[in-house]
Amino acid sequence: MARSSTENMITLMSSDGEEFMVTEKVARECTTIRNMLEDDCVITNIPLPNVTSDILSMVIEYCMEHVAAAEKAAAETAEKGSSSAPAAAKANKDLEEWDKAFMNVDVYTLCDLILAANYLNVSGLLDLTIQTAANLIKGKSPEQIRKTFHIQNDLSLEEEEKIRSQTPWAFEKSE
Amino acid sequence: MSLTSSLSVEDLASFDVISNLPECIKLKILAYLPIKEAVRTCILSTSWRHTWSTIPELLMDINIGEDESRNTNFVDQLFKCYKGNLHKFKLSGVKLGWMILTTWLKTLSQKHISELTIEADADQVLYLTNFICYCLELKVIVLSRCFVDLPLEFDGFKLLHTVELMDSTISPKGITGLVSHCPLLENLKFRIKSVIVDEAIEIHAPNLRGLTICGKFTQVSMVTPSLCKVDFVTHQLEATSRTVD
Repeated sequence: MARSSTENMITLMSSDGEEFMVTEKVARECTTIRNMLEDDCVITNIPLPNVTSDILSMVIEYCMEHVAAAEKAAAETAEKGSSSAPAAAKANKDLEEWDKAFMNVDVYTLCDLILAANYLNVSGLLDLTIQTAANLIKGKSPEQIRKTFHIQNDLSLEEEEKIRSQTPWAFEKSE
Repeated sequence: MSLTSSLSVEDLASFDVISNLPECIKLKILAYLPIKEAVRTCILSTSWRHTWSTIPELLMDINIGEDESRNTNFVDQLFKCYKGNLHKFKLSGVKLGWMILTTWLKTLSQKHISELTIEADADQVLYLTNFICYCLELKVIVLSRCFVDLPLEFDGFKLLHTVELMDSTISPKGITGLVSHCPLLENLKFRIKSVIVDEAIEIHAPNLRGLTICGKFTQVSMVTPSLCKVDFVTHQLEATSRTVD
């Protein structure tokens, strides 16, 4: 990624003490950090006690990819005077493909990413991870969902029956 | 905040990670599911028992069948179990009778509904009952294939900013009345299926910014000082526009 020498660098520190140097532009993708920078513009070192290094590095990877894509689109628009629709559509599709590959993670990483995206307020990543979690539930039986997420069923058979009888339409076979 | 960082590999293999997410995040996940599947999560475990019942958005995108009494049961059950405030409600592809819709709108008004979308089934025109007038907190109304006939004495939706009436039936007087009683209206879009009477439409809306009109109208008169985007797709239109700007 091209980086101008005048660009501010910010150090983000994970809960386990690892430091990540990123450009201010990448850091600003996280609304939580953007707000901190706006409140105090000389801040260069930000501890993030709620995010581990492996998750933080993934969040940064996501932000860098999306910043780079936005910069590329802006550069193309500036070059040609206007953005060409097919090129923009292709760039969007490429980014979607990248997102999809990025979401190829286990459920633990996925849930940690959801929490980090929520805490750091990266709306694109939050939508992506939440949608991915929903897709893991969609079309599955309760038993399959429990297996996917290791959910312990602590309901007795009687309780289950009672719950089913309250909303029987939800448990009918799909039309 | 990491849910799993302090766990050993063995613990991790059986850790119920999703149930331990904050309730607000679980709700966001459920909001991406069709209503039936969202409700069905109540049977996963005790911690999921009531989660679905506070989803702020319900998307009803299933055909619940033509049997009216069965539909009524469905409605009753759904709202009996539902505990949250419903901000957004979308109903589509559903065959509904007047009775059921009345029940739904009554309940929705008590649940402070702010965005309502009703897309009636393709071969149906749904008569929108006057109970919609009780949903006073509505900000967005999107209706497809509906027959809209609001009472003349209706005082308007004071918070409404967006109205879309697609392939719907409403009288010119109905449009005039609706627009004049919704002071915050910013976006108005209508594609009218049939003209009830041949009369002029008056659009007096100080805050209207976007307007799209499709249909056969004889006359449209507008006083819309904030208008910045307008689309007319019409036949035999004789627009007498007094748009400022």
